[in-house]
Amino acid sequence: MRFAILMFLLVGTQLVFGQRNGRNSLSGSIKIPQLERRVKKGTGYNKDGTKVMHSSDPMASIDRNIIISAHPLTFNPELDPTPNAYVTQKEQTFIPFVLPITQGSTVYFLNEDEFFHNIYSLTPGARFNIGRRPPGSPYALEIKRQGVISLSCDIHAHMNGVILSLDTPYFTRMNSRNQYQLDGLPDGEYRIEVYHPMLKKITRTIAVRSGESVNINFDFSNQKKL
Amino acid sequence: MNQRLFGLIFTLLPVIGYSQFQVEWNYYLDIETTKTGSLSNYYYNDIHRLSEDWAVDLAQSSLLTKFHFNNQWHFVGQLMVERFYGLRKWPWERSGKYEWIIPQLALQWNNEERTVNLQLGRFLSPFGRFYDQQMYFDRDLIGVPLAYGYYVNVSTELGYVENLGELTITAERGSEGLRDTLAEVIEDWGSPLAYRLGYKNGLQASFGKPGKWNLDVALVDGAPNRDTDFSSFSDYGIITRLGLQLNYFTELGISAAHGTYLRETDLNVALDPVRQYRQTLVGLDYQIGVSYFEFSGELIGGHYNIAEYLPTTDQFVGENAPDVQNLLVFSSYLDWKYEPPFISGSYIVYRIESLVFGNIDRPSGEEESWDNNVLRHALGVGYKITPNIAAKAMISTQDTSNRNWSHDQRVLRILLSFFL
Repeated sequence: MRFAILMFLLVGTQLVFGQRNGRNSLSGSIKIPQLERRVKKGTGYNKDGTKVMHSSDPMASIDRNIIISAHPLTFNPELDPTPNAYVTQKEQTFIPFVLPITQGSTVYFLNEDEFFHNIYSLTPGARFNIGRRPPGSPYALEIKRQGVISLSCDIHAHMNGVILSLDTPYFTRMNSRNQYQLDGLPDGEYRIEVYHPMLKKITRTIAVRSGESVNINFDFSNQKKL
Repeated sequence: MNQRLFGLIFTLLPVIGYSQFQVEWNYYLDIETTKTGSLSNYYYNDIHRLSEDWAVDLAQSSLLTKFHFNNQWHFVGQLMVERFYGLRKWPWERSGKYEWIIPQLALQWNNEERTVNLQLGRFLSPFGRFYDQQMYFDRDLIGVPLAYGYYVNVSTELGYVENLGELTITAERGSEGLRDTLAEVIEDWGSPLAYRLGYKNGLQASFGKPGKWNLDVALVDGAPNRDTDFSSFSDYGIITRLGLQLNYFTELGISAAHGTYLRETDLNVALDPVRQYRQTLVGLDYQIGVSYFEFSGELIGGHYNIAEYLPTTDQFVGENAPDVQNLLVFSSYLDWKYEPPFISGSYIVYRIESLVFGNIDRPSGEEESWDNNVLRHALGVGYKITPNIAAKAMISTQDTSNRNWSHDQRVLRILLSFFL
């Protein structure tokens, strides 16, 4: 009798939550054209008189800021806040250039230069201005809006960055070998989106189940510039 | 080498370089409408009253391109179109007066550590705080400070001429066709303490530790007040600025400049050699920014080694040779800026500024100021509508000592800026 009840519970749990229990993975490579990061609105000088600087940190480069996200189409995922969501300002550069988070996460802005920075956004629905901030003291801001939120610095006009606020907890960043690996996807259908800061994003629909490992390669060669 | 050739170089380089080098660029377009006092003049308060109030026109347009050949070699070029001495007309109208300007055209080099920078060609003068005053979009207030926009009684052809700008005003008062009158009298309005467009030809070296200090030393074609063209290579000057980052919220700049400013013409043969006449400027600029507040400003002291020209006699003052005068002037301004956090993208700014002139030597021993002291108040607001569109407005009023022009030189300006 106890065995029957246990089996009933196991089967019932599987029926109710089975879609989310899969441990599927998505991986592949991404081909991106050689695009130098175009710095818009570069005036050649800064409002505080400092010389224009550009960081050589890899996380400021285009190819380390390609974000792959899987958006479930057959269930609503829980959106836990992204931990340690930091945007730093170093050598007059936003690092990382693109910060992916789940919608509703708190982002911490940290000035790591020895002069003041400002951060503001004019993205509709997500306008904010945190004012001038001293080095070493993080400023926390909850990001309520979903989508691409542009960041700028009022003092150093050449600085620009992006917060990619997502409605899914399943996302990853392309690595230095132009590959990506997205693990822990529950069974179901997904819309895969590949975000490139300068090119139109690529989308694809897939279905995964039963611990599947899916390999999909993406190619930005023919994507239009934004 | 003429301006057309520079323009051709500027035009071709982007075409050649676009696909091969990393390119930084921006494009600005500023549209403005104004209501000015009846005696508003470009050389007094930055905007000339020529057409009816609230006429909309192009204020400034600029294309800036910077090529990075590699991490050490760069090229910067900027092409700008701006009102011709404040005239208000669209450039395609036949009577419109716009000038094409190349404020930057320079080859730049820096070492790997970016602690040494060199640039050769045409670049923005490092003196003072002009680095964020060149373009309308970058100014918190639409107009430039008095030191950069108020034309004092110093002609770059004749030296000191008493009431230089006032002669023009008198001429215009009795005229119905102000536009035509301006075209006739535009020959000489004097000159501001620092050249209104802020660029110089020459060689500039910059040293420093990023975020700590920076020293700019520029060998250029004349003093800061000398308008730069492609025929001024016989002039010479030196401009320096030491920038200090005292702490994360305080930037201090100490500037000094010295150079020749008289262009050699048939009118000033009696002053030969004209290179003996020099302008010297020293300046202190500062910026303090905390949270949503910013305080910034500049103090400038100027000295002119100068001869006096008398229009009534067509002669320079002096018995055997022109007498040399030593004229002093002081300029200062202070900006208070606040960015309300509850209206992201907006700010409000107030500026108070003054020009104070020293005395000129008179044979009678009478104490007489060599120009009229000016006190100006300006209030401005700005709002970034989108990342590519911004609006700003300003109102200014100024008092000129010994003259009753104050009420006639008020100005209200509204500017819409677009940039890519």
